[in-house]
Amino acid sequence: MSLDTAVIMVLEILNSITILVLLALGLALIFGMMRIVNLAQGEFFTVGAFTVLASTRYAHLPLWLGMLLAPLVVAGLGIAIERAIIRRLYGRPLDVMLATWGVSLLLIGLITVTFGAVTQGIPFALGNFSVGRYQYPEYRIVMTTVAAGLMLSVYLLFRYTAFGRRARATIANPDMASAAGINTPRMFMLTFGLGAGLAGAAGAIMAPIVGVVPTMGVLYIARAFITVVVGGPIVLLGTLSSASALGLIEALISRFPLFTIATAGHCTPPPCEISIGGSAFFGQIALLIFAILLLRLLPQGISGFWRQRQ
Amino acid sequence: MRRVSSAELLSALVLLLPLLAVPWAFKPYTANVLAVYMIYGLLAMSLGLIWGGAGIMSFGQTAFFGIGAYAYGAIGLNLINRTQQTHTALLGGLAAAALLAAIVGYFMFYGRISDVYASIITMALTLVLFAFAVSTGGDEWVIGVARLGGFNGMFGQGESSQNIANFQIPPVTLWLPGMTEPFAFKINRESAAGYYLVLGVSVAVYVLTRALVRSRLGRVAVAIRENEPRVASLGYDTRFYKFALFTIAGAIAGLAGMLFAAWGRFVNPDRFGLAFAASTVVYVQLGGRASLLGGFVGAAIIGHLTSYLAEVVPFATIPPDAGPWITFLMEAGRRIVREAPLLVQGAVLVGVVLVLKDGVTPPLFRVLARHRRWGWWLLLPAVLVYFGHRVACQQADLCVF
Repeated sequence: MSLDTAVIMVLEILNSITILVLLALGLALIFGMMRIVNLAQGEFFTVGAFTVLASTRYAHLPLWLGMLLAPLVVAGLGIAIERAIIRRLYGRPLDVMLATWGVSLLLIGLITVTFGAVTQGIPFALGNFSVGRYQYPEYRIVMTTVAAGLMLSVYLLFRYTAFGRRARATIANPDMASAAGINTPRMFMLTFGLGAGLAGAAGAIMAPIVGVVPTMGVLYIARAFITVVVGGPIVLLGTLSSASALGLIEALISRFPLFTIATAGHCTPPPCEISIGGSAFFGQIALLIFAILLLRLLPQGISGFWRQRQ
Repeated sequence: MRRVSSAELLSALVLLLPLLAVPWAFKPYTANVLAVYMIYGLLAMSLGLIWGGAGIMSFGQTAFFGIGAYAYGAIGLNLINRTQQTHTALLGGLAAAALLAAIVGYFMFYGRISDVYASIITMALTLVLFAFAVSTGGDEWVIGVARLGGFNGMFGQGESSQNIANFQIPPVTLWLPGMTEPFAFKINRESAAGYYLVLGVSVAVYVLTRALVRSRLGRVAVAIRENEPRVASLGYDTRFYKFALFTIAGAIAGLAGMLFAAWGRFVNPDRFGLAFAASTVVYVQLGGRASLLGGFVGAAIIGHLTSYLAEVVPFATIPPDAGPWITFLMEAGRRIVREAPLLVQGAVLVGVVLVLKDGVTPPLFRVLARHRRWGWWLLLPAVLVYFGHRVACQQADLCVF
């Protein structure tokens, strides 16, 4: 393998990891801190993307302004949903799952009613840079930078601010935190809003490189959940490590064909064969199989395994 | 408790009698629609079995449904012209669904994954199978003569005199020893055999599943649902009981899928899609997971509601001289109706969770068990009046509501 191929390969692995981190960060925050499974997270992602679409196409704002607006809009939506529905269901994890799934279906329906079911693109101005014989999109580097920035800010927020300390206290022991004068319902609400806002940011950042369509969240939600489940209880490090492991597998299998199976179809031109590996779809299959095998070995996820070892 | 479940059995009988008469009383269309409601009900019952029985929420019950349908289709298409029957296809579809459920169940329950993770894994399984089924559109994706066909769904491919001809998935066809010719279960003007097949299978599986719930397996599963650590400390291998129940439920879902493929003579990736997975959960949630009948009730209610909504709002063309507000309202109404299934499902999920925790059947059965005298005297005439009205409406156009 020549040097430029290797560099491209590394960049593609980095891109897979970036996408998984972007998708899973908000979800991991909500799941890890509040222990609730939010199935509407994929639609928060979609709403973020549609905020960018609406603000650039219909309100004619610049792209960067739309991208800044998206997390705020989605965080507001998340807080509204927490106040209206999820607040009534704390302590009933299965019911939270069902209710947020209902919210997810309602949001898909409402977005389709408003914007139609067609896929729309968002134009942007960045080009490619060249690595030896290959061209690579500059925007992907921007995405990786933003993902790293988001992770760092979440870390700083929870580690060094008064809000972060109160939130962690609330998560560790809600009753004690409440007795110490922390407004715990407000903490839950803000944490949920923050998780929603992160999904909105992910949707906004990825909107220009994927087609914007009401069902786009569904395509990503499964991968986001798998990343969170494999990551385990430690929010940031768990997400980063599982995104790295899964992203590596996904990028490798997507890139390299493993073997081919000949079939009896009527192909033009004639040799009819299925290539296993070497497409984005097989990357996703490999990701799922790898995750299931990993969970058989480490039921608490990667970071749960570290915690046990300590 | 005993009384509540006998109320359930009696209501099942009250519902069964009119269902037996449907092919005589109605046009084939009604039998066709009711058959598919029953197929969905069977799928929902399999979800109710593990959800209500063992407290395992599987978002991916439709994965086993779809696998059963695809396997039945693939084997049936390959063998129907050679053997004239679908015995192997039926066995193969059932085996495929049970095998997939067993593999997934093994990894989930023997890995001691928590219940929430199990829900996520089953959901991911369905979505990945959807992505797989969609990506099989190319000419190279064939099993023998069966084309997987991507979004277009599964068809058989044969050589006719001029070019390549397509043929459909066969209906359930039996050719047992002693029969002079094969018998196909179809639903059309001449025959209602397909309808009775679905009804018969539904009743049989319902009765068997009831027995299963009352057996040792079912009772241990309920104990696991209530307090798993305690059951484990009493010496039961909880992993095995969950695994066994999950596999059985997967096989029932696969059976429903085979009936579906044989009913429509068609299967496409939508069976793995999110909307179908959601609707299955909605049926159980609305009908009530405490009773095996709940899935059937939920499927019938939602099915009626969505088709009613589609009929009520007219798809009239917008008149050219209409004002901007009228145009806007009509366009909005049209779009809402087009998305009605999703909106109804979403609203039902949120509404039932917040308001009606256990669904509609448990309160109904409780009332019937407590007030036996007048409860039945109200229910029986209500069923008869509704049934009679539907007959009069369809056969003689005497519609009151």
